[in-house]
Amino acid sequence: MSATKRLSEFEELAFKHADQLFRVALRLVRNRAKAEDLVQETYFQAWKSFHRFESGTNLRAWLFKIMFNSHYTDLRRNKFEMVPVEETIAETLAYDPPTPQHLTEEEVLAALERLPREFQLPVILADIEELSYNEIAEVMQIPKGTVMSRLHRGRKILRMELVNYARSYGLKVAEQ
Amino acid sequence: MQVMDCRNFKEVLDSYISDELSVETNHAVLRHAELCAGCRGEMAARRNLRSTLRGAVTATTAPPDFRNRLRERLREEATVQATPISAKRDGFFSNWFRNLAVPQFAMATALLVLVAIGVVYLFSNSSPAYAAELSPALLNQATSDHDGCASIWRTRLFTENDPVHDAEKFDPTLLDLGKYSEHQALGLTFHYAHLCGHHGRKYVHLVYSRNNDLVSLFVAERDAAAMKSGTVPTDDGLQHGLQQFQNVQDKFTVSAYQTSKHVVLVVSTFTAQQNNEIAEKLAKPISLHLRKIESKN
Repeated sequence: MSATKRLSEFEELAFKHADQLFRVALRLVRNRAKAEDLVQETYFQAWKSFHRFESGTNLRAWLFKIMFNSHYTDLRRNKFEMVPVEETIAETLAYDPPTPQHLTEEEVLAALERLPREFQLPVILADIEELSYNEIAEVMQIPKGTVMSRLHRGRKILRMELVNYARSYGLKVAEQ
Repeated sequence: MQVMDCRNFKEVLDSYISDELSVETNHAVLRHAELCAGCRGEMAARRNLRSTLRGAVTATTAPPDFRNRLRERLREEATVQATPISAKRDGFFSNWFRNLAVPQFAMATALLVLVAIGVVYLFSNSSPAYAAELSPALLNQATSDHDGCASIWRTRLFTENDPVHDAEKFDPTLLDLGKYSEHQALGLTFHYAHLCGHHGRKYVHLVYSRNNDLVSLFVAERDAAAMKSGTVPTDDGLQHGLQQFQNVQDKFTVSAYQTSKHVVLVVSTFTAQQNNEIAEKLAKPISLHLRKIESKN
């Protein structure tokens, strides 16, 4: 297959994930210009190793993996290392209130933005981009158990924020 | 047959929605939902939360011309890569060549970088290294914990406990450290102390606030991983005085004291000067107290 033909194939398969990559990149680098750079770099790297991609496997997860890897490399270059070691999340949050029924996109988005990044990213990858727990572990280079505990805690904190918000505005939170 | 109560149901509900449960647990979830109207409501509310979240986040898309710019850049790359390959040899050899060309270039670059690093290293080594500098990993972990616990404190999850005594589990000498800090002098309120775990490291974490700003004080062991050089200096760290780090993870200020065995860190989003002032009143008296205990052992 000629290079041009192969590139067209790559573009057709990979470009449809650009929005998803861009959204997650925004959360990683918190700046539109930097997010664009990161996604460009991701596609560039992906194209260079496209011959190693096995068709039939999940291209989207593969792209996310390349993007996180590239981001971690940047972080290391800037000296602040993300240490992918299993962490002990000692505290389990005891109180789990009922989720409020009526929420606007603004409220939910505000609560998501307040989540610490280590919880925010797994929540975005699982609940919005619908990656599996295994895929998230591979993408973020952390053990699956850590993914699960961060998701568990992140989702709970998110709900707590929304409950507090709902209460402060006198909205009805179903009591059980 | 697995029987599920409401508490278990809520614990696994999100994983159920994500389709991450075993077949058996899936059935238990469904059986419980059939019998419990409250939990059915919770399931609907969480599905609703998720779809609202998805709607809100997916409203953001890449800029309209982004794909075109990307296409142009990739085509340029492809042309460069394809140039040495004649059209007739397209097939096994061309692919082989193309695959080889990139690593060769990458290897050459890597070699150059290595040489450059070596040169820099040789020169930088002639000046004495600062042996007691803290590792970026430690700073990163402490600021992440400040970020993480701050959000939990905001949701008032710790108010019902008295987690001060968790400190006992770490090291009995660290118990009640809060009473050694002079936080009142700066208008700070002491909220709680607990034991934090992060990346395999344990901290005693004391949380203070002033107005809406949170300040964390961490006591960690001064071990090899806490040090930039990877070795623990044999000196009493207090001689280094106050150490300061700015823009850790883009936004946090860290001021630190070291003793022979511990590192005491103050983390906030205040300016360096403000954070140092706070560290003088919080971390310094605690470090002096720790040093007293350490010298007795």
